[in-house]
Amino acid sequence: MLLIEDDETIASFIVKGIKECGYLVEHATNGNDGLDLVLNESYDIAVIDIMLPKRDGLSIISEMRARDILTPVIILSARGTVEDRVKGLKIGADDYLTKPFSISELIARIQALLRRASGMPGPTVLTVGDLTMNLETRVVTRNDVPVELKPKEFALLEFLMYNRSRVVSKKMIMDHVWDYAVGIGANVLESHISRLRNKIDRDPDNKLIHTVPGVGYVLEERKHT
Amino acid sequence: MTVLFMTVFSVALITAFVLVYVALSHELQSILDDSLKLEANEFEVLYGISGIEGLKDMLIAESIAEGIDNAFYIFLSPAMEVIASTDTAAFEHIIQNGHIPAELYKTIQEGEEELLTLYNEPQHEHIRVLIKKFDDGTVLEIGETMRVERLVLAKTRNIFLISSLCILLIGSVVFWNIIIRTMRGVTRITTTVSNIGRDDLVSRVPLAHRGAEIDDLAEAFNRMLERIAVLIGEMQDITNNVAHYLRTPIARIRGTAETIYFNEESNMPEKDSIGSIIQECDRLTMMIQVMLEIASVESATNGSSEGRIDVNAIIEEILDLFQPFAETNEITLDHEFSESKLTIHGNTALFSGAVANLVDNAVKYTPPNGAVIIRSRMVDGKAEISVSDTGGGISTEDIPHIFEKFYRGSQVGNTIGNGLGLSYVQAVARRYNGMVRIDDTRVTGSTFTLVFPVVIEHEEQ
Repeated sequence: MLLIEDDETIASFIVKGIKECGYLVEHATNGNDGLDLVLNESYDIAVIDIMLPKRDGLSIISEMRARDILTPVIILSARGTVEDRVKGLKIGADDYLTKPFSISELIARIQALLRRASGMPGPTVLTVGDLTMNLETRVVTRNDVPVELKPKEFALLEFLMYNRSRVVSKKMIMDHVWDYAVGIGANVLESHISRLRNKIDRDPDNKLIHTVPGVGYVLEERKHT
Repeated sequence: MTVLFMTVFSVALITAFVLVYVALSHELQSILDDSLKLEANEFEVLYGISGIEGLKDMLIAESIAEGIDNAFYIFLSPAMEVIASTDTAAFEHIIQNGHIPAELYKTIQEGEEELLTLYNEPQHEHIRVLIKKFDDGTVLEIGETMRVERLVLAKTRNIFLISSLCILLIGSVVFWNIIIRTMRGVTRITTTVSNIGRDDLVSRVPLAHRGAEIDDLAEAFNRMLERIAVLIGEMQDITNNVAHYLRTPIARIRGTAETIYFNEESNMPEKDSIGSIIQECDRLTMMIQVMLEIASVESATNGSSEGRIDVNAIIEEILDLFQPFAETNEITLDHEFSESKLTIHGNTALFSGAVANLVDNAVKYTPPNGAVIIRSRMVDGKAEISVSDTGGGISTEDIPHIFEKFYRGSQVGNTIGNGLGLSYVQAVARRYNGMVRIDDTRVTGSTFTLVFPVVIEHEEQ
């Protein structure tokens, strides 16, 4: 995939993160080089920063689309107002991520786009260990035992399962599940997680939801030694 | 305005009238005096030629001509004895011993004449009297009523009154008309400007192209609106640039920290600190986001969609959000809903955020075993959503400042917060023509109330 980002520090951890997931990535540091690459090479995904020297991200995207280059594009931007998002998507981008962001969120979105682009339908059932969630029937079972979840609990678990094995920060979770609660200081998430744990993580030897101190949570199987 | 104009106009008219009246009065008296003097001269000449007998004939002629109740003529000897006189019955009030009292003109010399005005009370008339001393000491007294003059003045007064009334009436009708048209122009401006205050910066005041001054005003307003639109655009640019310049370094810090954190070799003790760095970056990001939202809501440039909001449904969602936290901290979280559905107009996320911020404050500052209650009701045609807590209340010196950005008050201690919540709430409230107020009692805790205009739901046909 292609990354067009002029900020060295940010570029370096993005490249690192993408590589660690097993993908190959090329990196351009200004708009003109980036445009050259995207027009002449083919990529599975392009991650493009809006503010670039020599040529800005939006114009690169519109050039691409004008030439029928259908590579999925994720925009990176420090702005992120509703208008900016809409503008970006209208120009032809597929997703929009506001800085600062979590690397794991970027990876998650890259993978979602890849899946969409390859025509694979999204999963209808999420499975982690013996925890399953059927997105169509809205039924959750742990060890084949159905679990009653309230709507927000379901949404929370869905988000964690969707990002299995990726650390999701508290902010990421709140932004996705309770998007209006920006600026809430009280640690309401902790209590919701603990309720969720009471419902699906009763076996202390087989926990799936793990706290990542200071950062957030991760849902994955961990075998104890 | 019309009253003022009427008053000024009336005063002007009255002054004009008074001047005319006085001048006329003067002139008329002058004319009368001249005629009396002329008469006196004629008598003097006649006396010189024909003596007393000639005078007596003249007297009779004059008294018939003038009428004995309109004028009198009296001749006196130097010793003040009546030589000849017309019938003075009508003038008894002013005539004593057959003539005008001598004291009134004592100082007169031979050849001199004097003019007086006397009031004949029984007839309610003024009498103009001329006294002439002939060269040989004979005194002539002529008196005439001022009837004609009075009549002229009275007629003049009446004409003036009637025409003044007409002018005032027509004047006020015309004036009223002008005022109405001007006010209409002003109302157009006011309407346009208040629309701008709420939603759009694009409207301009329409020009009527009829009255010059009103159009000048409208144009001045339009120029001002241009300027405001430009300034807001600049402000928006500044805010966006601030966002960019703050967010990029934070993104770098967070990314770098995240990389270190997930570096597999690091089971180091510093991992917690690195985790804190990531968390603090997230907090900073949230704060910037809130600040930008407040700025965009305040300047009404927030492009989010608006629609009908079911107040109680939103409150239920927020109760759901805070319920686990409240339980964990042994706080009772309860609600009292209005009897009927309360609907307001606005953006759902913004409104939810505002209520959530109020509840957030409430639960943060309420100790265990306390209670936070959310109430919704309709008061005076407006929707009131209040959040009450049993915390320590807000001190009087803090209250005027609580809605300021970043204000944290004197009693926050270790509670987490950035001082932006209430200013966010206020910005959202104002955006949709509402307001937020605090009803606070130090002893039992604080109550914050959001007030919004209500949208009346129409029944589906």
